[in-house]
Amino acid sequence: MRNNSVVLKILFFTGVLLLGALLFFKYSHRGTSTNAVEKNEVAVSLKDNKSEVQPLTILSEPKEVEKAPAQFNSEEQRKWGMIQEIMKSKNDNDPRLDKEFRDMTLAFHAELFHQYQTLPMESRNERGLIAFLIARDIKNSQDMEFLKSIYNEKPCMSLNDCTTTSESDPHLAGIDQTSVNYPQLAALYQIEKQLNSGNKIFESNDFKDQLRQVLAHASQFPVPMVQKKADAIKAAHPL
Amino acid sequence: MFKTLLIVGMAIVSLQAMALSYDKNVPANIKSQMEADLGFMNGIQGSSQTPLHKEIFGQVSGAAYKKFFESHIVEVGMNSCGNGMAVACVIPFMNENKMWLTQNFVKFSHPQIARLMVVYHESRHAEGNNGNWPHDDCPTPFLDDNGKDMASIWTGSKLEGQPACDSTAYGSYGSSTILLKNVAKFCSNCGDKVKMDADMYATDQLGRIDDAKVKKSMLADFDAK
Repeated sequence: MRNNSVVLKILFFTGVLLLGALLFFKYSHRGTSTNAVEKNEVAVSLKDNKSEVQPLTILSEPKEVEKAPAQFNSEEQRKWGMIQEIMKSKNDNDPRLDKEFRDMTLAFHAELFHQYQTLPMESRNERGLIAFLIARDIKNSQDMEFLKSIYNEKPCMSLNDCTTTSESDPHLAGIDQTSVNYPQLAALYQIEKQLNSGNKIFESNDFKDQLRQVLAHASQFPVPMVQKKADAIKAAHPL
Repeated sequence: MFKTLLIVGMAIVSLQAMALSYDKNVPANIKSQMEADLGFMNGIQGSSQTPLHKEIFGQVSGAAYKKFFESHIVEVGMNSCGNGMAVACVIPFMNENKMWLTQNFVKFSHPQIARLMVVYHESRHAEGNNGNWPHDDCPTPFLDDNGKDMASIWTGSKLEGQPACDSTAYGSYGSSTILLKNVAKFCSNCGDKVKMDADMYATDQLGRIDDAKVKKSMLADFDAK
């Protein structure tokens, strides 16, 4: 009886291990066992789209890593390294964005303005991140001038190349249209949030006037979704 | 001893059965970006959810999103997805449980939540038992809130008559809108940027719901607690 029980246990373990090995083999080799349709599709893709066989170009990363400015103190240098790391990681949910970048120094703001200008136009998420950080931490008229300048840019026409248009599939073209206007929209969404939360900085007549100017520029930006958002903010928050 | 081995054995089997399988030609940077994006999604914690979200995805939680995604997609491969601007697609006649990614997944500078929205939108198209949730043709004319044609501002291509709308809240446009609106509203471990982005991109997807009553019911759902 006892011997039978041991044999059964051994058989059971062997069965579990064999099943595990079988599934491992099946799933880890699935990619190589492509069927005829998949092989044809890959062949067509390679033939039709040369970019698929060329080395991948990452448009969204700056060509050179932005070094910390020499005049930064050690804390600013630490944060500068951090924000470059976050941009490179593409992790938009990095908790440091909310912990470390809510109350930045004026010098740090100034460097972010500079980096915004030096990033490729196609780096929409990175430029948008800077617009978001500044609009969340408005401190002075330079910040308002920076935000105004975002709406004086030439609109980006395509994620592939901001200077030219490209046909896109209507299925998900709306996402592309939102992303090409992301810096302009990010600044407006943050301004709206500041107004909704009653940021006291906008109680000053000077800031009110500057905010009116920012929103006026946004209303003139030649893209309807940006105009619409600016107009909605103006309607909800008469200044 | 017997129990320990049994648990280990079952865990090995379970892990192997759930892992996404990537084709060999998926570049390492695309695979790691996909894994990082899904990793973020799988870690989401939520404080509540709307009724429509509960019906489609369950709670606002990483576990629910992981379960949803892995019950729809088991393989990932590379494809051009039919146009030069696509990020990802599902091609049901080839393999409805396979997600195809394009080089644009890492090449274009979309916010992270926008990439994930595409991935979840496409995974909804993997539901063969629901006919893959095909899109409706957008109405003619298809006008925005200001009475202007819904069209690409730069190419002028109109959406009217294109198979790029839904008249249900449960299709790909509706479900991705519901997903993002709930992340924006209830995600308790998402940062300010992610929540802002989720709200921003949900607005785009909601614009593709062409039935006024459905859109109204969705807006009411987002206000529900």
